[in-house]
Amino acid sequence: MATYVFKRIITIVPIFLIATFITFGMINLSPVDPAEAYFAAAHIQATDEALEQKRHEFGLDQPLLIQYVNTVIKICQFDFGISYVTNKPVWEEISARIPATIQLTIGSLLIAILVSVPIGFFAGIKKNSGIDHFSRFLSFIGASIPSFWLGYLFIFFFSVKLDLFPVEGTGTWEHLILPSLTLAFPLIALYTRLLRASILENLQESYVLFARTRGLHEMVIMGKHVLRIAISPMITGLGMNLGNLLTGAIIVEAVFSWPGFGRYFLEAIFNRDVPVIQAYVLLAAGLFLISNLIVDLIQMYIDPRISRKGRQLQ
Amino acid sequence: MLRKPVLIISMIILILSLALMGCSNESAENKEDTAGKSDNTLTFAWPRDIGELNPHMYNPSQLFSTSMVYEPLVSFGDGGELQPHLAESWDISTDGKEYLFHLRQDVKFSDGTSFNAEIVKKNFDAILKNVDFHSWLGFISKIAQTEVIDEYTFKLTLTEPYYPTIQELAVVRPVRFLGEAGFPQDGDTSKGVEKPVGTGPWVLDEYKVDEYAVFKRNEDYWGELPNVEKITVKVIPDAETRVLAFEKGELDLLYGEGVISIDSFNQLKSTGSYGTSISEPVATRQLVMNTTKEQLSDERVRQALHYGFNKAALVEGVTSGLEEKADYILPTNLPYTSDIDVTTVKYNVEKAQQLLDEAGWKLPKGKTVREKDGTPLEVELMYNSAESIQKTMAETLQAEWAGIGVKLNIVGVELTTQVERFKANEFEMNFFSNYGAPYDPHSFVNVIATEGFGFNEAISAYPNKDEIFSKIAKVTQTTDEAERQQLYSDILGSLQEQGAILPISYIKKIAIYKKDVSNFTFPANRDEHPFTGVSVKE
Repeated sequence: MATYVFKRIITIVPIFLIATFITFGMINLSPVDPAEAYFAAAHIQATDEALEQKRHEFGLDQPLLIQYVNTVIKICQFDFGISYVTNKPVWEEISARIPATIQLTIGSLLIAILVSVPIGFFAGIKKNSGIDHFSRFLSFIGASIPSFWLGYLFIFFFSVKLDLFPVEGTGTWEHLILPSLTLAFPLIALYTRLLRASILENLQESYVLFARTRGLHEMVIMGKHVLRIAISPMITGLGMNLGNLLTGAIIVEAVFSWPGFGRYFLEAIFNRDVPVIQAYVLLAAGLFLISNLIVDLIQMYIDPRISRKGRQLQ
Repeated sequence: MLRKPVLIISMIILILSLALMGCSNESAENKEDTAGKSDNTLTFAWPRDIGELNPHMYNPSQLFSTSMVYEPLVSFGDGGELQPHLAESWDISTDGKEYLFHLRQDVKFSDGTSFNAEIVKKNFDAILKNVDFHSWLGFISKIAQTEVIDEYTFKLTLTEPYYPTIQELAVVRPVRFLGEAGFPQDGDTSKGVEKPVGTGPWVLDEYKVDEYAVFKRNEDYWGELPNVEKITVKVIPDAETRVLAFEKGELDLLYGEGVISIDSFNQLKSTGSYGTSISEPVATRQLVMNTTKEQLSDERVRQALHYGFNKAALVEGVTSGLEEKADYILPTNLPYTSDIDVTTVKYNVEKAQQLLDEAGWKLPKGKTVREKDGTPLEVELMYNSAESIQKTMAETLQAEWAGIGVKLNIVGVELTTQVERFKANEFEMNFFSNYGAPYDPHSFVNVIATEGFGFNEAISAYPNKDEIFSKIAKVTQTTDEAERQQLYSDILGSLQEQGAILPISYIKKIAIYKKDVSNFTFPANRDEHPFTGVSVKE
C-alpha cells in the first residue's frame, strides 16, 4: 500500500512538468504582447520606449528557453512571479482569493450531495415512477443549461422577483445559496443519474434476491444493503469533479460577483496577466492530480481488491 | 465493509458543513454593508476593483476612483475651459517654456498635512523617475526642470514650448498629488503607495478587494462639499448582474460607457421608474481606411464608401439613440474643434456608384461585386469582437456596401490584436475612437503624426500628408492662439476631407438612477467621477 502511494506521488512530478511546459508554450503561442495589453487595458497609446520598459520589467526581452527555465525554477520554490497588472506577488493575490472559492465549492458539494442522494435513490428503486421522471427531467436540464444562464435565471426569480436572496456580494449564508446552487446544478444532474444507474444495476444482483427470500422488508434491503454498495461510484465521481467544480466556479463567480480566484483568473486572461494565468492552470492541474490520487486511495480503502489487482499485475 | 461508503458520505457531509461554518464566521462581520443603506449614501456599481488608488500609475487603479481622492492643478470644465483647481492661477512666459503656478493656500491633505510647492515637486519628481513610461502624455517628456520658488509657488520649465501642458495637467493620471504619508521609503511610487492620501472631496474609508469600497466625504475639503456623505462602490464584473442588482434596488446608480447593454438601458428606461441621462459626445467613433491598400488608395473609392451607407439609420439602428450620427472626426465640444470647414457627406447611393464608376471599378454583367482589371472590389474590416456595437455596425456596413457592389469582409479580433495590427499597418479598415477630454484634440493629431501608431502609415496616399504632419508638429509649439486655431482647422479639415478617417457616431456616456437621486451631471472630463453635485433624498 505504502509503495503504491509512493509510486503514485512520483508519477505526479513528470505530469506536472508537462503541464508547466504546455501552459508556457500555449501562452507564448498567443500573438498578444503582454506589455501592449497592459497599456490597452489602461486605454493608453503607449510609446515604443514605454513598451520597451514594460517588456524589460516583465522579463519578456529574454530568450524563450531562459524564460521557461526561470519560471520552472521559481515555481519549484512556490514563487509564481509578480502580477503584470497589480505588481504584487501572484501567490499573495491568489491565496487571498482561495478561501472564497473554497467556500463556494463546499457549499455546492453539500447541496449536490443532499439533493442527488435522495432523488437518485428513489428514482432507482422506483423505476419509471413520478420521481424517476422528475430525476430524468432534472438531469437533462442540469446537463444542458449553461451555468451563466442558470445563474441569471436564479437571480431573476429568487432575488429580483421573490426578494429572497441578495443579487451579489458575500457575507451571510444568504449570499452563498444562489451561487452554490448554480454551481451544484450540473453535479446534481450527474450524481442523480450515476446513483440511479448504480442502484438499478445492483437490483439485478443475487444478494438482493437472497435478501428478499429471507423475507427482509423491502425498505431495509434498499436502505441498508443496496444503497451502501451503489453509492460507491458516486464517491469516485465526487473526487473526480473537485477540479471541475473549481474551474466551473470561474463563470459562476463572474455572474454572482463572488470574490474568488476563478473570477480573478478571468480578468487575468483579458489583461494577459501571464504569471496569473500560469499559476491558475498549474494549481488546477495540481488539484486534478491530487484529487484523483485521493479518490484512488479511498476506493482502495473501500474495495481492497483494487490494490491487490495492482500487485498481481506486477 | 458494506458500511464504508455510507460512512464516508456522511463524513464528507459533516466535514463540509463544519468547513462551511468556519468559512462563513470569518466574514460575518460585514453585515452592516447592506444595513446602512438608509443614510445619505449613494451605492454605485463598477465592473472592476478600484485598485490600489495610486495616482501615478495606470493599472489596476480605476480612473473614477483615483479622481475622487486626488486632484489636479488645473481642471477641465465644460466647453473645454481650463479652470484653476489646486493652482489658483498660472503665468506662462512669452517663449512658452516656463510655467509659474500659484498654489491655493487653504488646501490640506486628508491626513491634515498641508499642500504646498514642496509636495508638488515631490510628486512631479516621482513621476519623472519613470519618464519613458509616461511618455504617451506629451508634456511629461518635455519637462526640463521642476522648482520650488516659495511655499506656494511652483515652477515648471519645459525644453520646448508646448501649449497643451495646462490641458494635460487636468488628466486624471499621472499628474495628481499624493500626500507625504503616501510615499514609500524610496520615494518611487511606481511600485505602489503606502496609503491613499489626497486632497480630494472623498476619502477611502473601507475597502475589500474585489467586493466593495466605501468612500467617505472629506469634511475638511477646501472646495464645494459634496451633498452625499458616502459613496459605496460595489464591484460587479458582469453587466447583466449589474442590471439585476439595480432592478432589485441594491444600487442607486449605474454610470459610464458600455457599463450595461443598450437593450438593458432602454428596457429600464421604458419602465418609467428611473431617471436616465445621456451625456454630450465624449468621443467620435471612426472608421479608418488604410490608403496603402490598393483599392483604398483612390480618394473616390473612400468617398464612395462614405456616400454609400445610411449613417443616420445605422447609428440609430445599432445604438437605439445612445449614440448620435457624427459629421466630424472629433466631437465639436472639444477645444479648437468647433470651427472645421468640411463638406458633410449625405447618404447618396447614386453618387457613390458614380464615384466608383469614375474610379474604374465597374460592375460586370451578372455579377454583384465590382471589378477593375479582373480584381474584385473587396475590403476587410477589423473589429473588436468583444464590442457588440462594432460588430453590429460592421455587419450593417457589409450589407449596405453590398448594395453598391463592394464586398466587405469582416473580421473580429481581440482588442490587443486590433491595436497591434493597426500599429503594424496590417489592416484595410479599422474602428478607432479618439481619446476625448482632456486629451484631445492635441493627442489625436499627435497620434496621427507619429510613426508606428497606425494613422501615419494609413494616410500615406494623402498628397499633402507631409504638410499635415508639419502643421501638427507646429500646432503644439505655437504660442499664438489664432494661429493655433487656424492650424487645427486646416489639419482636421484636410484629414477628414480626403476620406481616410470617416466619422460614424459620437460616443456618449449613460447614467441611470433611482428616482431619489437628483442633480446628476456628467463631468466635462471623460475620466473624472460624477459624484460632487449628486444628492440622494433621505
